Amino acid sequence: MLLGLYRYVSGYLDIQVSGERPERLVNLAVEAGMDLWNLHWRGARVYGRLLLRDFFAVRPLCRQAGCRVRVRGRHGLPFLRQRVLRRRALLAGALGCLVVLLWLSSHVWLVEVRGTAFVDARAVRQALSGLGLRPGAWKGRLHLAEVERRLPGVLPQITWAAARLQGTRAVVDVVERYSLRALPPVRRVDVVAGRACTVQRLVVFSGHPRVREGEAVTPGQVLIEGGVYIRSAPAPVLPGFPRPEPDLLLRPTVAEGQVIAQCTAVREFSVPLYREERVLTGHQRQRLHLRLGTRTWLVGGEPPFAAAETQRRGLAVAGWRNRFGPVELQLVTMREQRVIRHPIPLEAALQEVQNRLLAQLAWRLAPGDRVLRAVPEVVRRDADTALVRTVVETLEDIGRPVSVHVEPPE
Amino acid sequence: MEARRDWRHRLTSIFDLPGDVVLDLARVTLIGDVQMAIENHRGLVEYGPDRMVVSVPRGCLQITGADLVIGSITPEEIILQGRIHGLQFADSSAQRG
Repeated sequence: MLLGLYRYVSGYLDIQVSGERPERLVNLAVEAGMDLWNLHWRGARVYGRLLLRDFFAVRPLCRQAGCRVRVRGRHGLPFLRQRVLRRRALLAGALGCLVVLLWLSSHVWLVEVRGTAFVDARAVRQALSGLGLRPGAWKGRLHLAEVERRLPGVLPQITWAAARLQGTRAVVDVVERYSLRALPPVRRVDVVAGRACTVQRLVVFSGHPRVREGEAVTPGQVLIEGGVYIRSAPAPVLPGFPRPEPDLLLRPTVAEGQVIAQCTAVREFSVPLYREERVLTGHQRQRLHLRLGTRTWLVGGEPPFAAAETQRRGLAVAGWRNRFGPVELQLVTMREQRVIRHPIPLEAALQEVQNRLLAQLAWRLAPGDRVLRAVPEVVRRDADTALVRTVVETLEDIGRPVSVHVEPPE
Repeated sequence: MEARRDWRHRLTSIFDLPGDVVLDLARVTLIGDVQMAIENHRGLVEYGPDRMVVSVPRGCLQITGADLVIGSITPEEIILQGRIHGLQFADSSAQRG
């Protein structure tokens, strides 16, 4: 293959040898170090192939051997180049096409988000757009590792992200912080308490209730049992007495119902009584790193600032698709920052705590649940921070389905 | 001369040396009846579509066949392609037939 490539790049000719002794010409050419191949007879002549550079040297040998050589075909890069240079418009079109193709393939044109179930993929795309990963972004400026690192900070509902480029498409796999799994098909499912609360209202759609309204329950306690019960004996109806409960299990079932309970929780936060602002001082330093594969060495530069904003610029051989060169020079520019602390009034800090708490609750609670009380109180306070305790009372559905293994009937 | 050749033969067999190198012989490799490689040749004597004679040390090698094509030829090796029917070693007096 390499030999064929070399011949194509050098250019070669189809030749026709006529004369008395073509063997003599072949022997002379081989002795002179010429490359001859594909020699064959057709009619009364020998045909073969010869490198372009050997053609002018073969003429004296022809005279010596009493043969005549005629060119029947021209192949290879030198002839292709000649043909292409004659068609300048075609060449310009091909070059333009190549440039457009390169330009188009060096941008991201589609951002695909995978792994979302509860979080809207559009919200993830918007967050990615804020981090620079958007349709039309130049791939050379993308730092996917940085996007992966910063996305969970921008979108708290995301706990992990992995981004990769597939041609002009960026695929971002995300894992949500909270997710529900579909229950496997089982024959018996109980509804148990998810938290320690006091039952306020119990509505059973299917199954057998095991708690009463006003009863305090603990986490894991069965609230509605997944079973259909009947009475083992006819129940006498006595005026003034409740009817006895069914006591014989007929068959298991999937319990369904709504258990609304009042839950109380105490949350403590340590909140700062100041807000930090970072202001650029105008001082700037640079460092040079050398990256070889996954390892990085400091080549030179000045020591870093205590607080600084860093910008990293890579100098490497241009990558192609997802492949990047193993060697990269990284110029890190550090701009010094001065941290200024602005005091915050205690009321504002408490409001901030309450807002944060309500946001957390809004994420955890179901649409029908309500927050009854969430008032923060200062427990301890010093110069910079305050310890805030908040008693949170909620009215929520605490029922959680739990599958129970049932032995099959013999 | 014969004694010297006999000595070389013995040396080759004792030390298990390649005969084509020590005895200066042509190495002919045949792949089925479609390709033949002749190493250590001395040039073409005769070439035709159904008969070819190659000069080798101590004589000539005559190849008969059909549609014989020289795939490549270098001072060290000839690659012959086509339908090979037979080959015969002859002394150096073999002429165009």
